[in-house]
Parts: sequence; structure tokens; C-alpha cells
Amino acid sequence: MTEQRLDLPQGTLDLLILKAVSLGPMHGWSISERIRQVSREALQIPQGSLYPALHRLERRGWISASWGSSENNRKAKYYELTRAGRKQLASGADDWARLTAAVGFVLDMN
Amino acid sequence: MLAELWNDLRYRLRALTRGGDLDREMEDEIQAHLAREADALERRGLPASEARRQARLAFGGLENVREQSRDMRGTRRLEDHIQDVSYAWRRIRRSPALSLTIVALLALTIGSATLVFSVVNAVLLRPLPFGDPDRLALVWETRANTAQNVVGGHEFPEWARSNRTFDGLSPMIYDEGIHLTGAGDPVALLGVRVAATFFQVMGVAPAIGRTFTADEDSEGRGDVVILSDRVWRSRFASDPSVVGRTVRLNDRPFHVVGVMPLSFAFPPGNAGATPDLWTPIADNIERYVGRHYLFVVGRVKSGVTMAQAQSDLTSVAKALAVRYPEDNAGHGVNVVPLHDNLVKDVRSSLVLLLGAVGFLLLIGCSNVASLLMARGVTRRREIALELALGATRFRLVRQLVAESLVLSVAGGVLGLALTSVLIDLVPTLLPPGSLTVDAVTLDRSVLAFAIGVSVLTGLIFGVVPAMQASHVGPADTLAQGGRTLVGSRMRLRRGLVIVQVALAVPLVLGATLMARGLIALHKVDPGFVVRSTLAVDLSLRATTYAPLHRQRSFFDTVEDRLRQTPGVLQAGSINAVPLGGGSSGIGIQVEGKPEQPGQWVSAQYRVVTPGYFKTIGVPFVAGRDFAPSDARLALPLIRWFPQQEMALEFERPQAVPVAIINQSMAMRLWPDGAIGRRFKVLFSPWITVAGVVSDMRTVSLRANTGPEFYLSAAQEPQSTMSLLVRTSGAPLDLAPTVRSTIAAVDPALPIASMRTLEEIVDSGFGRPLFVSALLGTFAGMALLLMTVGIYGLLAFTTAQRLPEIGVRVALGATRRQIHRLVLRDAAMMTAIGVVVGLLAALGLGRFIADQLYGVTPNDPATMATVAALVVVVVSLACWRPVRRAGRVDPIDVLRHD
Repeated sequence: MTEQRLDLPQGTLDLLILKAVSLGPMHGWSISERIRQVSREALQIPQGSLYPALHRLERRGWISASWGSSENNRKAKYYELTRAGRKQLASGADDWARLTAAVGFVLDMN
Repeated sequence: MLAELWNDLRYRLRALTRGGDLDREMEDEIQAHLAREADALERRGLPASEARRQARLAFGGLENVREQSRDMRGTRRLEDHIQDVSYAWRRIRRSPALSLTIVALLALTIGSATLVFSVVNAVLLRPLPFGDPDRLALVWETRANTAQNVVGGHEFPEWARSNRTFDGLSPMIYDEGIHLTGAGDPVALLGVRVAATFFQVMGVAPAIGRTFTADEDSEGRGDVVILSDRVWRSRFASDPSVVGRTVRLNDRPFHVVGVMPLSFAFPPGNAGATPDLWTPIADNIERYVGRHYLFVVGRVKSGVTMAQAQSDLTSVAKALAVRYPEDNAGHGVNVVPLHDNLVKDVRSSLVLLLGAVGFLLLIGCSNVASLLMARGVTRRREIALELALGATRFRLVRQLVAESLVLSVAGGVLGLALTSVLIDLVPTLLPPGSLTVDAVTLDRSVLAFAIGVSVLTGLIFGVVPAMQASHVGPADTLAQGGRTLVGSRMRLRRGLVIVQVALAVPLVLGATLMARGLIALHKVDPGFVVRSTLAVDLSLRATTYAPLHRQRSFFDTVEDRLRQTPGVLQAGSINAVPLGGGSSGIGIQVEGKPEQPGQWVSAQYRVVTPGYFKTIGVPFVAGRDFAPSDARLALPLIRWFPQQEMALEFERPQAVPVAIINQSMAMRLWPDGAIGRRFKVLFSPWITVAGVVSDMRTVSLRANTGPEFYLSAAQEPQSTMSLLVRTSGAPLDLAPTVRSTIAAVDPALPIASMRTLEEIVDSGFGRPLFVSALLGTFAGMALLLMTVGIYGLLAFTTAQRLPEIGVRVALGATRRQIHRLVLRDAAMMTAIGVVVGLLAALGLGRFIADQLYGVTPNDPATMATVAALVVVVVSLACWRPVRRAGRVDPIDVLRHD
């Protein structure tokens, strides 16, 4: 059930999604767009894995979904961070920082 | 953590119940995503159509995303199963003829298996309706040549006292022909005398009232009775207040103290009879030294094995042999678990039938498997397409197996319905007495069996074709139009046909052997005339016929009057109708031969009136028939134990004791002439051989009876006799006359049953006939299935080979050559199947050996016949495909390709 593996791309994707929706309700396409823009195009989310990940996070209860209408009146499913999701994001970000720091130390080793 | 679990569960539940909604939402979401992506691309200057294309490309495999997203819902597995079944249903409906064939086929095989299992369940598996029945045993005495002998009066009390392994033991004495008067018409009932402990030993309490007290079982008492449920219903209108009332049995008053429940019918009587009432023995049986007349049932202590009980009682028997060297030398003990003892006759028949339906099931399975494989071939395009579209092989196999499971469960349900109809016929097919245990019903175990068999068959016949079918290279198959054969698949289907032949052969062989045995048995001459003879069972009341000679005068009078009746050719009586079931061996001592304790010659004995041998048409080899002048004053002849008083007037001059013996006994004991020689029966005076009759099969049609002697009813009168009346016309036409003649002599005498001797003898055929009929039916089904299997395969391969055949014809092949080409395949499969089947039959022979008569299981002629039959049936199955191949028009076929 718990996926605390720090180095899995899957965990990373989850973390990115959680971070993206933490700024406010957002639909699927704009999540991927946001990540792309913010990462300065460095991170291109494979769009195929976005939706399974969203469903997984929803099942976990970290994000919740609701239908609304977006710009030019398109129906859209909006995802929003839940309280459990906020906690998960915090601990995930923390883990990520420690991981990257640790990996950095090792790589900097002379 | 808990909140997370709850959320998870809620989500999954929603996904499960509203999976369709979720799918639609996901579709909307994906479409919205693609639209936005396309918009974004358009804004960057791409033309609209190119933008849409790019968006689709960037998204990746749509179907993949859908599937993966569904996976994330966590209800994937269950949803898939539901989906598999609904797919299966759709496919099944697409080829209704094939599906119906398969379901019908399965219904027949599963139905047959369930029917046989329901009998096996009732007779062999279901526990006996007694308390803790596994601890119950029948205990017999053994002799050098008898494994189950009745127990001596002096032996039982010692067993009961000295054993350390039984909670209780009770003797049982059958009391046939007890007259119940004052409750409807006078009626003769089957009573059993038991010890007060009997019901406790059996672990069954009366439905109403109580059991016997020890005091009621003491000598001089015994005036109490417990009724069976049947007698209580039929004679006392189910009135509970019958307990406490007094009824008259054999003209003596008995207090009714209880009524047993319907399920209690122990111990069983002859030919399926069940006891009508139980009374206490109330006698000091220990004084009857050497009188062997007790049946014994016992309950071993909890935790004690039958083997321990056996060795315990054996040591008691050894002590007895020391104390009574004359009576007990060589007497052992045989403890037989009650259930084993009750079903010993039917077990082998049932095991045989169960094996037969097992074979039938396997044939059915392989048949359905090969039908499904044939369909698998036509479906290869479809399967290849699904594989190309990204379905996993596992998923495909699962869908195909789901399909076979839906078919097999449908077949199972139909089969169960079939069983529930046929199950009511079982008791009418089964002869009385062959089901000693319980009625055959559809209970939980039968249902479980049917379900289990259905699922199992579904898996067996489903998995293999499914694996095969899914083993398709998508590209090849699609390119070739899905019409090419794959070698391994054909090998497998051929293998399945061979299996069907190999399984059918032993079944057909078994059925043929049984039928041959039955016919041979039917042709056996029992040594007496069976036809045109009426048999009337009569039981004289002990009190009415108090001095014993009144019993003989009753039969003399009735027989005399009948002989003068028009339509009657002869009349005579016997105490046990030949081939009526039951036998009574007894030890005899031959004059002039040294007595060897425990080594007495055993012979069958019966008591007859002077007219008997004439009535059943048995010729005398030497000497004379019984005559009225044999009548003795001192009655009876046989004393059963040494202390028994000598008959009154024994010392007065009178007719000498005489016997008529059969040829076997004469040859065995006095090969140089038997007339005038003497022997003793137990503690009788010397009995002189007056005549020798030819041998008859009186105990079983299957074997000679061996030594047998007859005593005269004028010297050893019997209260229970069967009156035989040989008629010139149909015997039952004379029944009213016989009835009124008897009533004229004794109006109060109940006439229990009137049957023909033919009916009595034929009832011995009941079980073999039942087994044979079922086996024959199964063999017929097996042949039919096999035929369908071969026909299906051949029709299919022929259709596949039409182009090839067309080419051959075009190249000048004759019709004969084409026929041979097609037949070679079938001949090969049949040959292998028949050989394997016959080899298997050789190994299985021992399971049927004891059911046969006059043939051995490996009878070469029968085997050859069966092999020929199978070949003929196969040839019939080949007929159409071969003809079709022979009529191929090359132009037609080649143009088609």
C-alpha cells in the first residue's frame, strides 16, 4: 500500500502532480502543461501516464476531483489537493530534498 | 491511515457499482485533454488537422491509458471477471447450435455422474442414521469355513462380560411371522428380539415413549413392545396414545412402551424387509450351549479401533474354546464395521458404476474440448485481431476459459435438473434390499458434487483449447486469412479423439460383459421348474397351533384340498423358497465317521411337505419321496442344544427320522450309495437317508448349492412355510381360489403376500439388471460421444483438405484413392484408441470380475466383438466426410481458393 520508495519515477510523478495541484484546482491538461512550463520544458510528462496517476492519487485520497466548466465552456474534471494530499506533498518534498542532497554528496565525493 | 483505507474502499465500491459512469467520465476527460492539446498546438501555428494528429501522438496508446487508469481503480480483477462472463455469453450466443450441442452433451454426462453419485452418496457415503455410527459393528463368530456365523447362546454373555473394548453389545433374534391381532386385519409382522441395551448401543431414542428396562428383559417378563413408525402409522393411525396400550402379539398381551422414528429400520430383514417391532429377549440365553442363533451388534468404546475390539474379543473367544472344547474349538470372532457389513454386497457394483461415469465424464470433456478447439480455429482471426489490439494472452485465455465455464455450469444445471427427474426412478429400478441404508435424495453433497464436477469439467475442457487458441501469431493469421492449419493443434485434436476411443472401449467392453453374464445367468437352469407356480407365504400362530402336529395337519389339509381344485396340478410347501434369498447352513455329523470338533460337515437344509418335489418338478435319482407315513409322534426332530428337552413320546415306536438329500451331498459323503445311511443334525436322533434328488441351485443361480438335505414337515413341522401351487394356467388367476381355500381352513390366518415363483427368482436379477442397464446406457453414450468426436474431426480436416484433394483429383487420383486418403487418418486414430482401450480394460478387469457370470473380464471373444463394434461405429461416423471428399470437384475447389 505505502510507496515510500524515493527513487522511483512513479513516486516522482506523483510528487510533481501533487505540487502542481497544490496551487489550486486544475484539470489534467493544465497539470501537464504547468509542469512543463515550470520545469522550463525540462520535464515532459508522458501524457499517457498522467491519467492513471491521477486515478491512483484520487483512490489514495490525496486529491479529490470535481466537474466544472473551464474557459470557453468546456467541461473539465478539476483536481484539488486534499488535507491528506498536502501532508503527503510535504513529506514527499522533504524526502526528495534529502534524497537529492544525499545523492549529491555521493556524487561530489572525491 | 484509517482514513486512507476508508477512502480507498469507498472509491473501489464506487468504481465497482458505477464502473460505467467512471468509464464515461474518463472518456470525456481524455477527449477534453486532446482538444486542449490540439488548441495549444494550433495556437503555435499548426493547421487544425495536423494539431489533432500531434495531440493524439503525444498522448500515446489511448486504449493503454484507458486500461491502466481502470487498473488504478483497484477493482480491475472483479470487473474483468464480470466482463469475461458477459463476453463469453455473447460468444456463446453467436454460435447457438454448437453451444446447445455442448450444453446438452454436458448435461447428459454430468447428469449421469450426478445420478450415480447420488446413489453412492446415499449408500456408501452418508452416515448411518444411528448415533455416532462409526463406532458400531456387527460381531460374528468364525469357523474354519465361515467368516460370518451366528453367535452361540453360551458365547454372547461371556463376550458381553469379559470384553474391555465395547460400550455395549446386544444380541438380536429375528422373529418372523409375529401375528398382530386386534389392530385391523390380522397381520404377520417381522419382529426382532433384542436386549434392553440394544437402543442405547444403536444410539437412537424412540420418537415416542421409552426403551426397555433391564427388568423387562429378564426371564419370564418380556411382555413389552416397541413399534416401528410404519406399523404405528398403518395399524394405529399415528395415535401417540398407543404408548401405554396393550396389543396382542401371537395371542399374548404386550404393552406398547415406545415408537421408533421412521429412520430407524435396524436390523434389516431378508430381501429388503425392515423390522416392524422390537421385543425384549427376556430369556437366559446362556443355558443354550452350542445353540448358534444370535446376531450381535456392538458399540466400541470411543477411541477404540475395530482392530483392537477384534483382538480383545478374540482373546475372550480363546478362553471360551478352553472352557467348551467340544463346542468352541476353532471358533473365532469377526468384528465388522456396521456400515461395511450393510453395504458389502452393493459396494463393488457402485464402485464399478462410479468408475464408468468417470470415464464417461472424461469422454465428454475431451469431446467438448475438441469441439471448442474446432471453434477456436474459426475464431483465430478474431483472436489475432484482439492480440494485435493489445489484449494480453492471459486475458484471452481467461476469456476462453470463462466461456467453457459458462457452458459447463449451464450443462451442470441442466444435468442436475435431469438427475432430479431421474432420481425418483432409482428406487423403482433398484431391487428391494439392495439399498439397505437410506433413500436416494438430492442433498447438499450431491449438489456440491454436481457443481464441483461442472466447474472441473469446464476447466479441463476449457484450458487446453484456450491455450491453443490464444497461441496465435497475429500477423501470420491475419495475413493468411485464418484458414491455415497449425500442426500441433491437429495433433492435439487427434489425441483427444484417441482418448475418447480408448475410454469408450473399456466402457463398452464392461457393459457387454455384464450383459453377456446376465444372459448366461438367465439361461442357467436352476434345476427346478419356475414357471406356472404360485407362492404364498404363511405364518401359523403359535398358540392356535399349539401341539406341533397341528401345524403339519394344516399344511396337509390345505395341500390336499388344493390338489382337488381344478387348475391346480400340484401343491407342496417349503420353509424357505429356493432362490428366495437367504440360506441356512447347518453342521451335520455322519454315522461311522469320527467326530472332529469344529470340523463338522456343513450342509444347507430346508423343510418340505410330501408334495414339494413333485410341485417343482425335481426328479429323484434314488430312493423315495416323503410320505404321510413318515409322520412322527415325537416332535420336533432337531434339538438345538444339548440341554434342550427330548421331544415327548420320543421313546414310543414310530416312523424313523428320514431325510432326502441332494446328489452333491450323496456324492460327497456316500459315493457308493447313500440310501439307508445315517447322519445327525446338531442334537437330533439319527436321520436315515430315504431319497436322493438331483441338484438344484437354491441359494444362488451363480453357483451350485453344494450339500443340501431336506427334512419332512411331518417330522420337523414349521410355523412359517411358503405354499407352492403349480397351476395349469396363469398362476395369479388362481390366487383368489388359493386364498379362499386357505381361509376355509383357518379364517384368521393372514396371507402376507402372493407372488409367482418366477417373480421371486427374477428379483435376484434386480441388481445385476440395474447395474447392467446403467452400464449399457453409459456405454451407449460413450459410443455416441466418440462418434460425434470422430465425425467432427474428420469433417473438419476433410473440409480443410478440400483444396489438396481437389489438386489430387485434378492430377488423376481415383475416388478410391481419395477415400483411402481420408480414411487412413481415422483408421489410425481408431486403431491406437482401440489398442490402448483394450490394454486399459485388461488392467481394469478385476473391478468387474465379481459382477460377471460365465465370462472372464478378459474374454477374448468379447474383446474382439467390442473392437469390431467400435470399428463399425467409427466407419459409420466416417461415412459422410469420406463421401464428401470423394465427390470433390477440382474446378470448384481450386476456383474457390
